[in-house]
Amino acid sequence: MPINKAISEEPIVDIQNVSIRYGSNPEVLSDIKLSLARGSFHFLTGKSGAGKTSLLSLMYLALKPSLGTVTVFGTNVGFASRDTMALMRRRIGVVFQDFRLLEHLSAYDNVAVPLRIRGMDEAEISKRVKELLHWVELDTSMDKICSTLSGGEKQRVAIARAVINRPDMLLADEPTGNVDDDIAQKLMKLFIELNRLGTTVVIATHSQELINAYNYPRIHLENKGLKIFPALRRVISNEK
Amino acid sequence: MKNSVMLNRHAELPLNKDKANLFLEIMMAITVFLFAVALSGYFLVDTVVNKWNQNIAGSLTVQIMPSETELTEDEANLRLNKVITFFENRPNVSKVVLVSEQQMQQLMSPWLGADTDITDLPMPKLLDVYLENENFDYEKTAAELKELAPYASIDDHRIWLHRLLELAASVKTVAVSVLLMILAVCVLSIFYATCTSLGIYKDIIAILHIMGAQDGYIAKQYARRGFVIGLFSGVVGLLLALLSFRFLAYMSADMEQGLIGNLSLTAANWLALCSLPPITACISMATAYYAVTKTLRKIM
Repeated sequence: MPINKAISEEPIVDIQNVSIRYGSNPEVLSDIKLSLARGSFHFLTGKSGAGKTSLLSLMYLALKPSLGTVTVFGTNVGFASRDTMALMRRRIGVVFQDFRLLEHLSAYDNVAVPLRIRGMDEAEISKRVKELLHWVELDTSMDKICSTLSGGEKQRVAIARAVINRPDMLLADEPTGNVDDDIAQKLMKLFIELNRLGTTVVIATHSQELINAYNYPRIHLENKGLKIFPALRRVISNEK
Repeated sequence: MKNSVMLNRHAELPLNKDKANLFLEIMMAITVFLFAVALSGYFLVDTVVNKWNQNIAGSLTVQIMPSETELTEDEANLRLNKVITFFENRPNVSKVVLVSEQQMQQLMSPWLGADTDITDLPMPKLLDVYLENENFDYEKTAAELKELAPYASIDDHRIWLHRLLELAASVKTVAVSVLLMILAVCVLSIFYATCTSLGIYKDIIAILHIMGAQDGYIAKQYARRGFVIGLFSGVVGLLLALLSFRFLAYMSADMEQGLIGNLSLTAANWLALCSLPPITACISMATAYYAVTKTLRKIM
């Protein structure tokens, strides 16, 4: 198992006694606690509606909890200003299940967005974006408008956009759901390599195959709460 | 005007395809047109008021009625010189000028026609008396003149001129109010069009926020659109206004100048009018920026 040497003591995400509800509806998550160490890699599982997207939303700072505290990069998000939150979000890469690409822009411009937000100069943007699009095998489609791309191509654009900033934390919702096995393996390699370089990775998935193929701990959501299952081989070795 | 909004092709918000653009362009062009017309009106009234003010402070007119009996030329001159000498010797008078036959002809031409010979008509003689300052004593002078030459009288135009000045001041106040209202309409339209657009593109804005965009990053895209639309509409509105002025000048070319004289804008007035497009662009830009930052704080 690729245990990252960069794991440090301070958690990158610390969720304490958090509950989430939307309006007057019942709670989606209730009194959960979760700490993710820097440089860790987790799968996130649970049935549809179990709260995976809500938990990810908490972590990429799009949602504030109804109760409890969320601390990301050492900052309590309940007290962070809008500008601080924006700067924190720049350190987080997000892959959405429905991609959420800017459909009117080209693949190139979609991937370039996080760099433009950071104010990087166009020459450096061009270099980085082309390199990454080549890596995800989209160099021939980089000028195509996103609305004309296939599902698999869109997914790769979404992943490239999430990782172009070399984020401290990568949150991905079913990132390999729409691509063939070869590309899926290549994308997983990319996530693993980012993790090796220090990025904390959380991948939400329904794929037992993916979980079995890669030996990482698993956060499982059930009955509004969560359980953490250690990496399979480690569990086996512990049992031994 | 449909494709007039040239924006950054990388802009994440597709504001160049925003249907509100055409509405904003038309509305702002009309606004600038009205603003230019109202502003020009203000400038012209201001010019007239200044001229009238100068008249009040600087001169008065003396009317010498023709004699009821026939006089020789020497007697008539004596009669006239008596009044001229009277005014020349008054304190605070700088100059006394007899209005010439030719000037009289011009003054009477609106009523009698340009070709009528007025030399045989029993016309009064007019004196323009130029004053050194405002310390001229009208009442005392009028009383002494009446005693010396009952056939002469001071045409005290201060009363009606003051009324005209009051009217002109009211017109200027109305013009300023109109200018302010036009400005308010312009700002409110941009503000609400921007708010509507934020609602339309809320999904894209949410994505940009998730990727770490600050409100200012999004506001700059709207500000850029605001500037381009403001500048374009400002130029169109100003051109329409200039065409209207040309048309009015053409239509009034044959009209008599009468009381208000030859009206024209000064170089400073033209400069103010020509600065309307860039000023409109800046107002539009600032309003759009403010609308975005204020609204995003409320809704996201």
